[in-house]
Amino acid sequence: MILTPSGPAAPASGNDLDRRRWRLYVLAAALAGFAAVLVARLVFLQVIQHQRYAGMATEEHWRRSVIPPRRGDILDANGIPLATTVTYATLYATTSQIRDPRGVAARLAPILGASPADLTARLSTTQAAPVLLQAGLTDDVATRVERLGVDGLFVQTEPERVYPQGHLADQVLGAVGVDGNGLSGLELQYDQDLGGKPGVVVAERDTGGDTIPFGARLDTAPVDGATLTLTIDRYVQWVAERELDVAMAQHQAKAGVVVVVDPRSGAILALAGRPTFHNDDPRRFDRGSVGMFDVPAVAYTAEPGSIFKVVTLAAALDRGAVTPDTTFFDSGRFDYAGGTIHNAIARPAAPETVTQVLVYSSNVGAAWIATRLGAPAFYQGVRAFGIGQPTGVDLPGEASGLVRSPTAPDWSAFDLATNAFGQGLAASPLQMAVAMATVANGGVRMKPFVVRTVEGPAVHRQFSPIVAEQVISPATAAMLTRMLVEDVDDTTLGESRRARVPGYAIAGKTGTAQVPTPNGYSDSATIASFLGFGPADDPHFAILVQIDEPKDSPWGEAVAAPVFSAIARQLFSYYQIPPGRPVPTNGM
Amino acid sequence: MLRSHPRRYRRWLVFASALVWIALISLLYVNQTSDLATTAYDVSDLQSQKARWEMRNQQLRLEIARLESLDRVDREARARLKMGPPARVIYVTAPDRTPPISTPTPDATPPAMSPVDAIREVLRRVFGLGGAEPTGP
Repeated sequence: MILTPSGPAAPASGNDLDRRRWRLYVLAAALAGFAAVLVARLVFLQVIQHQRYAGMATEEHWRRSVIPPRRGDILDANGIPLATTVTYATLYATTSQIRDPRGVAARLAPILGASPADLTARLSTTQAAPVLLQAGLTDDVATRVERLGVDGLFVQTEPERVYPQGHLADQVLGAVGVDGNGLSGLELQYDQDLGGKPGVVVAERDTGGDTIPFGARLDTAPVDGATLTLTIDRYVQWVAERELDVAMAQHQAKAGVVVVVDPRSGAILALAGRPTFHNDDPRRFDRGSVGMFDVPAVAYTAEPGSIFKVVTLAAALDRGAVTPDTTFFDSGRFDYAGGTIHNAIARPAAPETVTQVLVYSSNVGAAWIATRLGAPAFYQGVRAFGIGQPTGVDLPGEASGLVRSPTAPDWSAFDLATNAFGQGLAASPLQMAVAMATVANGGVRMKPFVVRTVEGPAVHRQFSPIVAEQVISPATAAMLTRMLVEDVDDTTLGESRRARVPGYAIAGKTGTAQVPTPNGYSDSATIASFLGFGPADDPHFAILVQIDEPKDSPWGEAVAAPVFSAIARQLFSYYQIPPGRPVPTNGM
Repeated sequence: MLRSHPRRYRRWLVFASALVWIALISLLYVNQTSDLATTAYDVSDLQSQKARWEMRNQQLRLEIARLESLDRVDREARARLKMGPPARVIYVTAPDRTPPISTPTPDATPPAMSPVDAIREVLRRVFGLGGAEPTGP
């Protein structure tokens, strides 16, 4: 009943009731519509957009942190660190919290050893993101900065890859990028082992964004990277690099390589290459430096020149095509398959033994021996020594070299004559060093390797010497060794005499290769090399020295042989190998 | 009055005891929670200290390795100690001075002691009794 001021209302008529009922319907419909909109919105938010908002809530409540693993060390053969990872502190500033940039800079400058003006400028910048003030701080410096108690300054620790032996073996060790991943050398080859696996912590966080101690959390511990122990000996590498640097400077050479291999196991003792990048050079990632990241001893190939005569002679002696005393008449030219071979240095025409072919480095003699051996046996021998195929060394970017066999469409019979003295084919310095190590090891070719062990929390691998092939018989190897010793000892025309080490028998061979150009061979540029091993009766090392484009002398005897001698002399002392021959009294 | 209402008294007693227990347990819980939080922050602090010491350790190891690098040793030897490569190397073949391995002979075995001497020897070794060892001139 509806009351009015004048008393009880008169009963409503039928039209009034209908009108009121209609208003109620409208109100109910409006309310229902409003409710429907609300329900629709709720469905939209809670059902359709469920994933998004649930994710946001989780993101708000949980903190996911990736814990980087420590990258593994690289040690030399004696356990001395060549590469390691050290954590340093990095100082940042939230500039919006620093009210007196000049005053803070004045207090920071003596601690950081930085210019106050430079620090003031950086502390005065207006940006939301933290400003980097200085990286690579030692713990002492970081502690002193923290003791200042300046609001807005904070220290964060960051790992850094460092190479404590300076520039030693930069190319072999390689480089890592700013993300800590390997880019070249062993850092790239063993990146998976060195890098380890990152850990993850998912933990509840408070309203300030900090992790709640003892709150719910899910930890996956990081697995630190493995430690590599190399076959490379720090001292041998250092001697090789130092002597190479001396020779490069003395002869103003364009490039150079030294390879030292243990012939008994195939273990690489040193791999030096010039030019090289340096890991502490901030411009090492510049475009011009990219080519220097390769290890030239395995990545670059060139015509080996006369040092290849060792392979030719080994194949011919092993097949019985010649003996050391087999004689032929060296007229100074050899016509074969429409081409003519000449000796590099003209000599009077005379009969020569096969040993003298080696001692005089006769191109004519080598070509004659190869034709006597025949193409199939010659190329079989070349392949057996590992020329023209990767050695399988555990370094990135290995080149296979180039040897055209008689089945190749562009091979001609004349190639046999030129290949015999190392022209018309390409081999890497490591391939040539392994070939000589094969002779030193009684004809057994070992697979070269750089890493001896990989030791880590999740990995344990040990690499043992692997026999690749018995290339020539031990008797042939001994015979060839005697010829190579004779080459070094020869006092008449022997080109290898500068490789001698008083008191020791050295087996070796010089090489002077012409440098091919688009218009034939260069008239002036050569690659001077020496390939040898010692002591000849009990070889401990085989060494290849290769100097590219020396300016003062083109010859391997004058440029590379003295480098071999200097390195070998120091290695005999280092390995405490007593002299096998009387040592001249006038010293060494 | 309480005696006249022993049931009510017991009820109040149970209620009061329950309150006290609840209060004590709550206090213990709060205390434990507080301790836990404090310990958690201590652990966190110790972990960061450990990380700092490890960092310092790594930096010191690096410093040692750098000081032992051959470049530095060579530089120091030449510049500071005025050393250089040997002008002359002399090889000396040392004669074999390895002492021959002697085999015990019956003469080398000590003479058998009498029981009295054996007791005196034991006393001398254990208590320092039985006379001093004869000393040489």
